[in-house]
Amino acid sequence: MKRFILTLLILLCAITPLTAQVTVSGVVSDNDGKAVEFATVTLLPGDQWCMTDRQGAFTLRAHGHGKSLLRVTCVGYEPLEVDVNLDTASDTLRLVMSQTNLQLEQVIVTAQRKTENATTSYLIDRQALDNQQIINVSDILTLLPGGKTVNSSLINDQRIALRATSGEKGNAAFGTAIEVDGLRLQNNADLNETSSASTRTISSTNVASVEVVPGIPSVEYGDLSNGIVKVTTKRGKTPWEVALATNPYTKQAGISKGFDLANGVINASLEHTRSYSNLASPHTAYQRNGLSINYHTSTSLASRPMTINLKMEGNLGGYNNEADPDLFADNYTKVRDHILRGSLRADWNTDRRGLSNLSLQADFSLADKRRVTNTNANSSSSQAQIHAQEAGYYIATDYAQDPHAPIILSPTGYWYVKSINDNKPVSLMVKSKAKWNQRGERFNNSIMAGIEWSATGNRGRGLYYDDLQYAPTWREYRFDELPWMHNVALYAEDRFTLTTSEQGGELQVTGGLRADVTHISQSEYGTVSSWSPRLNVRYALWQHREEWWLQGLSAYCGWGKSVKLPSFEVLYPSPSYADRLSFVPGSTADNRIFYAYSVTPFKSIVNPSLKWQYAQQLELGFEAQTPVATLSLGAFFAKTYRPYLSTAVYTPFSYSFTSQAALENDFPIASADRIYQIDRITGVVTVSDRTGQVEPQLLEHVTRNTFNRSNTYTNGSPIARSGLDWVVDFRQIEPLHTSLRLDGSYYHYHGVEHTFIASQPTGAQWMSDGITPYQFVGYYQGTALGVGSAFATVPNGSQSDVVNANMTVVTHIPALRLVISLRLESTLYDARRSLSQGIDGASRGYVLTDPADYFGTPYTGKERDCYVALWPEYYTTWNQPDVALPFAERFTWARDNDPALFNELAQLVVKTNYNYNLNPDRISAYFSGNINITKEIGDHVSISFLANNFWNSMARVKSRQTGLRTTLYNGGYIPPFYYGVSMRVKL
Amino acid sequence: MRRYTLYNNGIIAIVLTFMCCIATSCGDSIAEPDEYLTRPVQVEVQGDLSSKQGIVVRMTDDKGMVFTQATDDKGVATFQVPVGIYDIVVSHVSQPEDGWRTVYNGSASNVAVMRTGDCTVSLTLTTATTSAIIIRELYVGGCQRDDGSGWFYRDKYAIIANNSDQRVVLPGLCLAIATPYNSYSINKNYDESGHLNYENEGFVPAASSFWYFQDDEVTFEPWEQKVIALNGAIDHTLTYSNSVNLARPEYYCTFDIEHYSSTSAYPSPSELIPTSHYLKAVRYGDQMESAWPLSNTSPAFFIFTPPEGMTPLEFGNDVSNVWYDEGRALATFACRKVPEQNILDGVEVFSTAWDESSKRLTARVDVGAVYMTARYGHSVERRIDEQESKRQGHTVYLDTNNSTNDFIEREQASLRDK
Repeated sequence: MKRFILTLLILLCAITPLTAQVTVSGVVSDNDGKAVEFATVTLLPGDQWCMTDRQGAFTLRAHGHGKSLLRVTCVGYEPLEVDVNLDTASDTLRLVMSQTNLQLEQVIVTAQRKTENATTSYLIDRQALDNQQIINVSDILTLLPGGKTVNSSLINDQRIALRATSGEKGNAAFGTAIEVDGLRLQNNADLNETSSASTRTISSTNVASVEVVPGIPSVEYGDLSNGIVKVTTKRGKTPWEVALATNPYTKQAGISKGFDLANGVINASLEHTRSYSNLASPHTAYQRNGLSINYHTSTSLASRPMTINLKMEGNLGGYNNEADPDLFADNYTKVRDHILRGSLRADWNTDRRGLSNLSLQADFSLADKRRVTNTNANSSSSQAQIHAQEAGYYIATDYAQDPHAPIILSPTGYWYVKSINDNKPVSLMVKSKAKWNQRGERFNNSIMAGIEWSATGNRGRGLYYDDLQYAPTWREYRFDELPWMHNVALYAEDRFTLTTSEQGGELQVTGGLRADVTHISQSEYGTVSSWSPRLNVRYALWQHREEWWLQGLSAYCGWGKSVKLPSFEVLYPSPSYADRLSFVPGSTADNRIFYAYSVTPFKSIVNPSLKWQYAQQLELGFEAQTPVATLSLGAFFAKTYRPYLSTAVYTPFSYSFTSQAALENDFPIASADRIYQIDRITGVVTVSDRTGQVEPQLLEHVTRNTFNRSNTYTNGSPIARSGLDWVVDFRQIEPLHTSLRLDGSYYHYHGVEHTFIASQPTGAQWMSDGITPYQFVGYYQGTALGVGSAFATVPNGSQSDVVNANMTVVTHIPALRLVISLRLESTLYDARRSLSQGIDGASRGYVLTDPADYFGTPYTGKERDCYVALWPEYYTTWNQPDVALPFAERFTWARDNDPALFNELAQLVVKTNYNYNLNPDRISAYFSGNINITKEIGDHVSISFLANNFWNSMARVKSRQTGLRTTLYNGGYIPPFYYGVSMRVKL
Repeated sequence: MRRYTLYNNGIIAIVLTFMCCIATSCGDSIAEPDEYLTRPVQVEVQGDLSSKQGIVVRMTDDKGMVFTQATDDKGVATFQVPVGIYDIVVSHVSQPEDGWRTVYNGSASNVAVMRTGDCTVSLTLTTATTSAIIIRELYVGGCQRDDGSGWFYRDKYAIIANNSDQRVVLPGLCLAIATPYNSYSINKNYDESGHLNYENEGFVPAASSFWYFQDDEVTFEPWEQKVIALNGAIDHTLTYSNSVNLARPEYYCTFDIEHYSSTSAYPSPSELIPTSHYLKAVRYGDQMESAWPLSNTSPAFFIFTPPEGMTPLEFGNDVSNVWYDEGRALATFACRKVPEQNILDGVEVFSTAWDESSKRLTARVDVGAVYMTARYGHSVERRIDEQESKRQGHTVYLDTNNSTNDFIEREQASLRDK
């Protein structure tokens, strides 16, 4: 860390203005000559920027020479780009922006590659969102190259995972970051899940654009390993906009307006969206009621312009089925999804000694995800409701006798259980960054450095019950008493741009380094830190050469290391409990049973050698422009090292067990007079006589030897992902007003786990005598599981290759103000297989002639249609947990010499489910089509219609693994037939 | 796959009705109607029979009219029946011998008796041995709760009975179920020819686990009945007035809390029941289950004795005797192969809530099935063999190895009244 700070200081001190200051000024107006207020004017490269005032005027001070690109953006207008020559920029520029509508020649309803970036990045603007009728921001993945359509709904809390698919190791979804207007949506303090943040609370009608960076993002963005999604909401002065949308499962209404205030502009947006889970029953629904207020003002500090943005965003909503008449009376589930987010950001265009911009941002996010369930319950026998949190033996006690007893005896009869899971994640962040910009005649050097502090915690009480008498087995775990997670990051990035030729040749090199330090006050792992270096290079050989057939050609490559710091669950694990029935007396005449339990609390075991998971990503791509089409092709290779792997640790454990048999044979105390007590340490049960006539009786017990199973985190084997994304945008065929786009992706995944894991047969297993708990633990090489605690499986990894290709035909008729897009989606190649591989390709498992066998020939990976058995490499016993016994040798011996031992050891053998499980699978190609139509009626109204899978494909696909054909209908391959209509009114 | 289809039966009935209508409307106006035209039919029974005389053959036409005749010494039953379509069923039980009987079954469907020509049918009877120990009643379907919130199903029980006047001593007694657990679930254990793939292997798979009496020898006195509570051996009527009281000292119960530790599925039995009446479990499949997966709607339930020389525990632990349900080799799907000759009795229960069900017990165990409606306190119970009861002066239950004939659905479980 010290070296990093020193380097940063040296870099900053070295900065001196190399060139003279120039001023670029101008006025921005629309087609009607009306001033465009609060438009953002950016000078590229270098990202020096300012905003227009009420008269549309702007003044931008810069240092440098030569040509530069001036970009003007404003919500409701088409982005405008003009070349400026800094040497002659003294004249006031007069810039005219066009309002976005379908009368324009150029309309984009697909994700566009951001070409000025040296990494893969896509921009999806409002028109594309409207055309696709996006309800949940997570649905935007549909619009990426090779993206697959999903039927938009808020019922399914779909999460974003970039460049990954489900069922893979490495927890890709947790590594995908999401920001809204620079505010990171944190999920670290949500103790109920380990995934990317939910996007359901983002009002989709208020989204101005979304940028998706699946590649290597700037070091400004940390705590991620699978890219970032940046959402920008509406701001500035916008007209009244009313949006209405309906589809079979969702209804939506939104309104927004940018208001002029005396010293600024405020943009407000209100949205109501309601999604149903069942077409026939609108009573069970998730709803979003979003309000967003974005205040923007400009001022000056030290005679330099400064802009201040204050944003407040909230949502009141969630899931509720209380009104569902199909549920039994008073049964309901209500889940709040309330959010309050705020952000204050000040940007100061300093223009002093090369320091071009200084920004400060402070964010907060409060969430209320309280879940209340009320469920009717009934039982004819009393049950033990265990609430003990300390180790020992406890006996069930009547609630009336002790409402806070470690074990409460439940009533019999009928009652309701009301549970409340109070979950209130909080996140705070303050960050500041500065930009220095140096501009020469042929180069531009921009340095960015920043510091960021963030904290996440939870103000919720956790799970609790409104009446302890009815609370089932549960332990209080207050989220608000848990320590907070703090993270401090320092980063610096230099972007050097060199003009290499008069034909637009340009070299851009971006290098950066980020340091993250994470601290949880009570974590046994202490303070953890990581480094994330990144390097991107983009070389444009030439650009904008309209007179050449190959009008532009550029290539880029990048390398980055990104660290996903361990989650709260890893650093501060929640306790688990092992409850073992220790005393089982018979049921009394009123069906009360005074059970006793042995309780053992345990936490995840600290692994002092645990390393932090990180990913290295390599990108390579090129872009070309021709009169026929624009092409872009990107390739990536990502390798995740040391992924977190939760493994089991088995610790020998003994407990006492006393059964009803001890109370038989003329037990001297009558049932109605018995008072049961259990020794908290030994588990010995004493029965006292309520009448005092008989001496207390000690009951005979037996000792059971078993294992306690706890978890520890370790580092798994590396995981490799690679792929290609391509987009070919053909120029519009003007007589037909039609353009064609071909996009697609190839994705490859390979992950094989070789880490040794401990595993016992699932469920209750016993030795051959039927009364001794299972005494063996097997140790296997790897597991197929990537999340949750690992256990033995025959496959220890998988491989997949998928090629998706989409074709989009867009017919845009400006005269009719009509856009029709037809999209054909295909999966041309979908191959997957489970792998069972030893280290360096060694055999792992045995091919069985018959599934009932336990012995066979070594599996090589080439066999087809066979059952495969996996043996542990070794095993340990309860008596000798530290002695590794050779399984193969003992098992083979037992087969011929000890049938009882053979039966016991055979339980450690794991087999494939079907004989085809390890066969390679390939699904035959499948297709679906969507149609989207947007029509503007006059200047104020536009209507969109969509039909997904509009021909309602019933085709069948064949699986090479099984040889079976299955229908696409509701098969999960393509979306079911779906339609929707939306309308927008602008005033 | 042999499937019992109410839907198909309905279609057949409609088609036959339609054909009859055509035949009636298009027939010769002076011809005698078919319902008055009778024709001779000869049904010859064949098989491994000590005597072919006196075997009752039953012919049922599509209107439900039943004709019965006994065979002569050559095994031929001669009928004179109206022209039509008939189902022919033979179900014959030999006299008991050392507590075991031999059951002969045979059937022929859609036999057409035409206006002209002879009608001769030859039936080859299958042979099965059935013991005097039978499943008298099975109650698994549960009952309605008092608060109207649904049904309660953890009051299951079975009654195992000695259906003879002889004392029977068994070398162990086990309770088992076949898969799929519900009759209406897709049964992947049928081969392409529509037969259970273990039909000719001489065993029935016992799925998941089985329960066994703790005693090495289980004795049934003449006509003795043992009630076995299959979930909670307590008085459920205290909470569910439609339920049953299973807290009686003479009752048995499946309770092995260390193997199945769910106290809601297996509340500790009434202290009135001695622990020697607890049946123990041996688990080998479905290891994630918290309770024995006995269907609430439609189980294939059977009882057996362990093979000679083995205890129930040894039989259950023997991994070499494994058979995998659906051909899935995960431990979860492991079953034990119970030889048919060790199976004392079985009952195949189909759910009335589903149009299609498939058989899981082989013909040697149970050639038919009994339908049951779950959730309303119903049970399935053996019919009383009136003739034998009169002859022996004691209630004798019908046991022809065919639950279609042998069982009826009771609208109220028999223990409900006790």
